[in-house]
Amino acid sequence: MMKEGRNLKSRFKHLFFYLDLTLLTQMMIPLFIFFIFLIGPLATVLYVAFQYNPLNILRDPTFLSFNPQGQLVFMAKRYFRGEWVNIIIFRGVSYGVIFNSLANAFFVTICSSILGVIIAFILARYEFPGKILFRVLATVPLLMTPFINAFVIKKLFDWRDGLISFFINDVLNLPYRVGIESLAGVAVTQIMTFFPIIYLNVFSSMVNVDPSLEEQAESLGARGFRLFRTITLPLSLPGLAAGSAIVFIFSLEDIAAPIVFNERRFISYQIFSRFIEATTGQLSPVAATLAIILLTLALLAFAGIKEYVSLKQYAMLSRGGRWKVRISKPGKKGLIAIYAFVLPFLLFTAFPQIGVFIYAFSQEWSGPLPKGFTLDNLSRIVIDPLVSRAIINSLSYSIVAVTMIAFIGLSASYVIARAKIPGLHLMDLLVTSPIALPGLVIAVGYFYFFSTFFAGTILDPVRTGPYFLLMFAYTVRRLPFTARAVFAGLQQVHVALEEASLNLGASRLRTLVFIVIPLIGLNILSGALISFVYCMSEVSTGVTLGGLGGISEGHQAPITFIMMDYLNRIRGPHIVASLGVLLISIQLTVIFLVNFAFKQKYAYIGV
Amino acid sequence: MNKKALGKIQALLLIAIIVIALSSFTIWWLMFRPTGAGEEEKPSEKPSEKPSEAIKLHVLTRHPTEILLAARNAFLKSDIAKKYNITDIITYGLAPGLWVKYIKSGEIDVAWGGGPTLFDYLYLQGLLLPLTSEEVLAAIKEIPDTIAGMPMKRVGSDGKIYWVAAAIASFGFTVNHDRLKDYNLTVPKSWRDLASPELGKTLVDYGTPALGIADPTQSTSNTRMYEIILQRYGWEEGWKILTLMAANAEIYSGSSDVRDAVIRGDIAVGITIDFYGYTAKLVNPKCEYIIPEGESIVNGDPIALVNGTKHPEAAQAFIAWVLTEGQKILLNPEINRLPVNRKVFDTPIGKNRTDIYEAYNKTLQTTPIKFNDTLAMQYETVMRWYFRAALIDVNDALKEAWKAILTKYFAGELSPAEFENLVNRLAAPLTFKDPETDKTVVFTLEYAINIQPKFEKDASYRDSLISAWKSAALEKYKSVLQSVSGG
Repeated sequence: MMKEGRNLKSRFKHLFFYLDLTLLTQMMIPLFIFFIFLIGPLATVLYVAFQYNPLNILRDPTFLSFNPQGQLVFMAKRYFRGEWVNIIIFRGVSYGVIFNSLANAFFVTICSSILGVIIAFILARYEFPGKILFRVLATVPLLMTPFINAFVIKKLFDWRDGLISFFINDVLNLPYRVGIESLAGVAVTQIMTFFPIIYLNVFSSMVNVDPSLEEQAESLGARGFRLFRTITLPLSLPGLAAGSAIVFIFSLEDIAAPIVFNERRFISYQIFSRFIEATTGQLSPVAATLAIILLTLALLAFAGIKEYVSLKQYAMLSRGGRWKVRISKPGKKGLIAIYAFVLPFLLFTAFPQIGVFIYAFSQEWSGPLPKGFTLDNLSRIVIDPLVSRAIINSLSYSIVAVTMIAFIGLSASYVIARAKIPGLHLMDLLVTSPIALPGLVIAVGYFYFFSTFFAGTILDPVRTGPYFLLMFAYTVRRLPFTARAVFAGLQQVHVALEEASLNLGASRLRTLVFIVIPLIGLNILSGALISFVYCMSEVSTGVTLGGLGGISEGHQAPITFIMMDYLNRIRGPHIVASLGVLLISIQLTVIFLVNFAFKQKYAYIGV
Repeated sequence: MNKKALGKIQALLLIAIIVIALSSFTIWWLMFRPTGAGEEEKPSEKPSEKPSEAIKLHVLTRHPTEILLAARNAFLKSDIAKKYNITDIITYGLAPGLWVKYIKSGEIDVAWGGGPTLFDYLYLQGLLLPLTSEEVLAAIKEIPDTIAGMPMKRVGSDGKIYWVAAAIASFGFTVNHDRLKDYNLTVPKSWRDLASPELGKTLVDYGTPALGIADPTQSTSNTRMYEIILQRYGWEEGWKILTLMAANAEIYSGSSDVRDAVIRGDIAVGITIDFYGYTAKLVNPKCEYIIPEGESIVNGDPIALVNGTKHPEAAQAFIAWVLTEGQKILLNPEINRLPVNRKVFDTPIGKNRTDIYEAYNKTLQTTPIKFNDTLAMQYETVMRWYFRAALIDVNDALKEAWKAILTKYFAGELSPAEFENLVNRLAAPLTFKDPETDKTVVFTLEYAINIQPKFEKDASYRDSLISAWKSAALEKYKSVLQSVSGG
């Protein structure tokens, strides 16, 4: 008895000896922020969902059905525009909203994984002329241009006026017209947009594989595919697992592609459409139930990979390859395969971004080919008061969010890196979890939590508009990037430097400001810049909460809301594309700064 | 090492200061500049106005921003604005559900645009004031009392005028002639044509719908059109047409989505309000707005003085301007609405828009249907949700059944009587179990009117009804599908 008491007592003593005021504050602030702006809202969603009796949804055949509706592919020979053609349209089969989202996420993840692994392997293990172009093309889809990229894909695959059918039928004169619509369209868009995430993760895993392991296997007789299957792929599994889980979650919560393809049979769209009805102050409890389903699925996926995306793992990966990577030159057959299949594929997946530029600079693009060059569209985004206001809004929210992120991220990472108290891995989990939390769930949570408990105050989104909440939504959702960058930097700063400073009498705070921050300044800045970029292009809370104040001259909506709204206006796509060009420019600037000016080589997992 | 570290510290501190300054500035800016949604500077407290006091008018509206911006720019330059020292028009674009709350808060001066149903509701709630100033009455004299048999003014029981139409609109469909040609379709002339098997042939031939309609729970103009169809053809026949339309169509969330789909050629014909059609034609000359002859109505879109305004004289001056000088804005190529005041066509701008003038004359001469607004209001909410539950939410099943019927019909395997029979089964109003009384009932006009009060107030009653409709509809469509594929 006495022994245990002493153990407990001495543990507490040790704890409080170790925790000074600064560390305590640094621990409390992130926890407090996360409690109010993450845990609280999530708990409210749970509460609302269970009040409504969530099982009702599972009994509703439009949400869950074992009778498939629609057809996977429509194929028929028809007389169209004066000739007989074989029309092939991919549409997809519906089994109800919930099942569609799940099946779609799995399908997208599997296809993205296969593509990502192949591309990663080719780029990690082979050297060939023009490789740098391949590497660039493979990451182009990650340049975020929400809505307009899906729009370009939809236009590309329109079987009546799209570029692909035009090329096959009108240029090559083959009697075929190909189209991709509805469910299939969403899947294809997501695969094209997300596969680089898998590629980047697997790539960085592959270059971290100890080459001696592969050499040993080779000397024992394993070659080619066997070598790949038994050694390379299993060792790259961390990257593949992390990438797949993230793609899975992103696919579940993607709202842009369903909106563009007018495909209502997804969980994300159903939540979004209920937000449109929420302007009267009531959000249908069905939204809460759907949010819970989304959250559960995402958490399951996240649980599988939480070690791989933790701060510690990221820091290890970002330190980069420690050995010389095995690179070989492909034979003739390999080279042909690379240039004949891989290059066109990468050009194809980069087409949405190319299309964005075409839309931004063309006067008209109603048929398969664009017409006219103009800079009008770009000037419109400054002249149009709604659009310019949206740009200012996004910049404001992002700057404020990034400032908060810098402070909170620094505090949280420092505590996790330096404080030797139990339970820190939970804080690690908390701080990285927003990567995996679907933004729609946060949007729903914020709506319920703040319009209920903070009604009538500045935090009430229905009364005063969403600007305050959007800033915090951005902060919480984009915190992990900075936290990770800071943590990685702290790993490279030896704790002895701080201990020396503390020994000489400096307080923890002084040490932090004058020793630690200068040493990891570039990490903080890089992390903040990456967080900034992701704040500017944030979709989920922007198109739901962002619309709560209405759209008039002094509106509070961010860029992404305006992009969604303008898609259906006259000359809309051109203006949305101009905004896309703006976003791409910001992203390219940041990538350049972070990678070349600040020389922060990140295991940029594209998230 | 010292200098380097110091330099870095200084640089970082400088960056931090700049960022903090920027953030504080933006927070201040966002919080204390007018944002147009809720927190506003209070209008002046004095009820009497001296011309020297600058006035800002607050306008509640459902008009899109193009109109609001054009109006604000033009009005603030006008003499009448200077006369009353009006320095700003602040607009609030809000959903109809929030209007009563905002008006009752006493912050609004003018209500502008939103359809006669909404304004009649406001009038009945006592939220509008009569228009009495000299200027506005003089302007009202230039507006006709009725157009195509529909009222352009709401006269109260006291003989005073409570709202005036500031623009007119009709309802019909916009077609894309290129796409019609692609699909080998003739130009539809009536609502019934939209429900025809001919239009459905596109579904069978290409797997793609040729028609586009919108969800009435998210579009007031589409709600209007469905009500027109129900009153033109009667309840039973009307629901048959609506059901087949939903079977023939791609469903969109908003009316502007429908318009855009027509412009892009995603669909060949979409039901739209007239000015969407005129705009479509400007953007894509292959598009054309068609008013179904003898099957449409002309709506006046009202403007009114709000009860609780602190600036009645200035507000009425603005209203007078909208009805006279302000009519020119409607002829803007991004707006394309029909004016209510004929005099605007004598101005240079008016003389330029011959297409609008033509459309205006056509609209005046159109034979409208006899439309009973009061009757429509009695079942409107129920109608919208029934449409959504029975036709939209289970649209996949409806399309499967309809496609099966059409495939056999075009293959010549159905006699006219069989076809008629199947269509009646598919499209007639639902027979279902009322969740409250547990009795089997038919969705008749009387039933809809009876349940509307409870439907609007009791959320769980509403949810259970919607569920009942969905399951009944699903059952019906499945059984029709089985009859067709089985038999």
